[in-house]
Amino acid sequence: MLGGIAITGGRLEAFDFRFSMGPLSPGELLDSATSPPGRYVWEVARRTLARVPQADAVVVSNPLLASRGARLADLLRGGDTLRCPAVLTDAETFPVAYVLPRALFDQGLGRFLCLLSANRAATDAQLLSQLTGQIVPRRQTPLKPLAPLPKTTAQGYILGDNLAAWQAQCADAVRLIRSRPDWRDLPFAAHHPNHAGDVLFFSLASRLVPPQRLAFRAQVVCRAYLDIFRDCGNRLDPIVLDIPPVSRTGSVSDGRYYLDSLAHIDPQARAGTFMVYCRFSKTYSRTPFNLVDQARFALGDPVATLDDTLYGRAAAAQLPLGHSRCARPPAPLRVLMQLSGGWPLKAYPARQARVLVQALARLGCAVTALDAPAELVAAGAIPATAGSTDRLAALIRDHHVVLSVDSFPLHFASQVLGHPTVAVFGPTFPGNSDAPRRLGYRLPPPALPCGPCGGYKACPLDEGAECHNHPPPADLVAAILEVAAEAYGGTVLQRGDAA
Amino acid sequence: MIPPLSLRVLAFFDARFQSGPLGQAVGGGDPWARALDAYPARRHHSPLLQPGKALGRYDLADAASAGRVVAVARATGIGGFVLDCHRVGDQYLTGAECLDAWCDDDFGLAFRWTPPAGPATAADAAALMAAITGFSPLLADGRQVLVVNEPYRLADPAGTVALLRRAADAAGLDGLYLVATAAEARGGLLDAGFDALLDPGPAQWRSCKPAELLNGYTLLQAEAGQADGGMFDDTIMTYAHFVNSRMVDRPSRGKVLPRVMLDYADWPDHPQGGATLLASTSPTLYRRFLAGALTYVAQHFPETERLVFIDSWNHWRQRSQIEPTTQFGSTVLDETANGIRQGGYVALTRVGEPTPGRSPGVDHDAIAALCRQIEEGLSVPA
Repeated sequence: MLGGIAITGGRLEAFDFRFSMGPLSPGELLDSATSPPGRYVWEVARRTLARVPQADAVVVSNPLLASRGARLADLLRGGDTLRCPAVLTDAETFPVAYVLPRALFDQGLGRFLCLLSANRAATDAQLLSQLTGQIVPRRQTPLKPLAPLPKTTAQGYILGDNLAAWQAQCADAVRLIRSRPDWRDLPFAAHHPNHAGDVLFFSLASRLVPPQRLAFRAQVVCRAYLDIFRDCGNRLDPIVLDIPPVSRTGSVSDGRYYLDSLAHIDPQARAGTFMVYCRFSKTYSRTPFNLVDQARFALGDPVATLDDTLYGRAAAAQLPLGHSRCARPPAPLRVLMQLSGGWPLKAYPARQARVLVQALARLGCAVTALDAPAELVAAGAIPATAGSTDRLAALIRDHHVVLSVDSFPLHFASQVLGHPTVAVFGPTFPGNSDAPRRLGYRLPPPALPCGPCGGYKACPLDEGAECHNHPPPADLVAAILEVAAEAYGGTVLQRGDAA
Repeated sequence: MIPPLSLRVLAFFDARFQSGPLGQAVGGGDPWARALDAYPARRHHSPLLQPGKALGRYDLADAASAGRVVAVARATGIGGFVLDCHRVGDQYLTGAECLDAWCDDDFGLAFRWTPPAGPATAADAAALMAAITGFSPLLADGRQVLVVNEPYRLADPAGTVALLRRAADAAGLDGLYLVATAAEARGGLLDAGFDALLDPGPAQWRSCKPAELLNGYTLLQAEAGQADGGMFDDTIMTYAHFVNSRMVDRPSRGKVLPRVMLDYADWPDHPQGGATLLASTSPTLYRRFLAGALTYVAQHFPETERLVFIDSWNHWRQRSQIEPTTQFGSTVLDETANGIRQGGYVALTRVGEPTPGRSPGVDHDAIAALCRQIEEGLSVPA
């Protein structure tokens, strides 16, 4: 719950906004894990002003805290005369709410609120002071001290190293504004350098955000993913990061990686760009929304209604970017598979994978498996390695159907190339990273409600190394044949062929 | 807040919390004291929770209290209550009259009937129809929903279904949508004329193995007096396994509507052992259970029959209530609302998507047989 208050001539009007679980009704905000808390300060202020266009100022609660508008109003009424702008804190120094003058938004400076630290009142006050040209006081409220905060808040924010990352982006912004008279015109860069799928989602998002909403002009991206950045048609300018992507094991957190990476970014780029931390500020398995929509929100698009989402008409008309088909004759049916993903539990279970490959082989299909283990090759799969997006695209176009677990090849085939694709989801939530439904795309539904489980190496239920939520081989074989029939016409294999 | 795609979430509701006719008929006095007057005798029995401030210990005979209950349920996204039909003399009482004033097309009343021992009679069916007629109905396929509990007690299921339908016609109802409490279609209940089945409760259908804590080690501990031996008298299921067992491979069970529950413990009614309990319950997993159930019915049921049942709104004596509690506030109610929203959204982005195995050009049965054959081949030692 986020509180927003419109102040009009001393009169307070309180509003409540909540992180949506799907319906995106008028009082709800798209729940975006890749948006820093400051992005929500901007959005709530924007929505509050839309409700009370004549307001002189708005007050927005700190997104890290669950705070109703009425509660915020109580805090405002007590104590000294309210000044604007100001940062309200708890009984100590933690920021509870921001009092923002209307002029900030009239001058088109709302996007700078994305840079707020949301956990250090002094730095936030300095940022607001630089933005408004006024002294910004910190006013204590009677609210009991908030520290110590939990590792993950009830709103889903991951604290830990993220606190330092948000502080660093805010402090850097203050320095930049002080040093550059032309700061108003400097670009914003989304710091979202990895991994492959995430770079793809941000690239697609950059294409879907209407130009007047796009608050960013650049994105920090690891050199290892620069081909993805380009081949997915990213509209932002790349700022190349010459260090390896963050480890998937969690040994280095996203927040720590952000802090460490700053020293490796071209100093000239840093001296002319506002860096916004756009890796995961929140747990993304909590939100039902697609990561493309989450990235769109991060980049400035409100995505305010269901129709605005990836599954609405407008976005569906723009995706997939291409309409790729295999030019080879329809028989034998050629299937390209990627059965392992970013972490061990995403991999399709080995035994079922062998059944899948053998079944397709007996049906006369030619199966190629990316990064195939020896057992799959023994079962009849031809091994292949992609290496780059060019090579992957060529491999995909050389096969009639792609079948992939929740990994980059899946998103690239289905959302960028528009190739006939079967999506395989197990421990992850399909809604976070699948494609809008269309002919030539199938997602055999995972059966169990335990996903997304957050499991990395082992199933949290039975501690085994495999996820039992993956669809059985028979469902996948059927889906491949159906997709092939849809995409290439006719029935690929008639009734009885399988017997 | 109504979920999209004609999805309807119903909650089983105990209408005995009243001083009106139903409350008097079932014993009078304080129904809350009766429900909550139970204390754990075993270490693994969690105590009953207490009603929270939001609704308190309401009396449904008080119109304002009943209105508050319905308003909170509506705000959560629930589309109706399922009331038990209590046999009192030669008539049935449901308590529907307390709630009906607050119902409309978006929030209706369905009923659950437990057949009497012995064959059902025309008089019994007529009394049942008299009890459920005249209130805002909860409809499926345009017909009043009636859940038949413990249908295996029926000596002649087809005859009883026909009897109920005739009685409904005579009572002026526009038909009955009959739901039998059964886990799978194999029992012949759909052939007997029932329109759909409904997952039984945990005590009626133990859908997964007991929790691992009931192993030999614990048994030895108990025999040595170092653990509570009472846990071997009860059936304890881990919530996560229970939830998965309820959702895995659902389509193969036939036309079975999901029953979603946060918790279950019937130890107050089994003081000598034999209780069924869920352990390690989790509101987050409950939310996913609910969302998954909504997505499932949206994908597999016709638009007018998409029902999900929550067990329960206020069965405090079984710890399955989702009403606000003193101990946990409205956490569970909030997760219920979130689950309904999330399930509705996921369904909205999925329904209409072709499902594997439905395409007439592909022989799914033959493919399944081929995969089984290969699987068996892999199991044979080299």
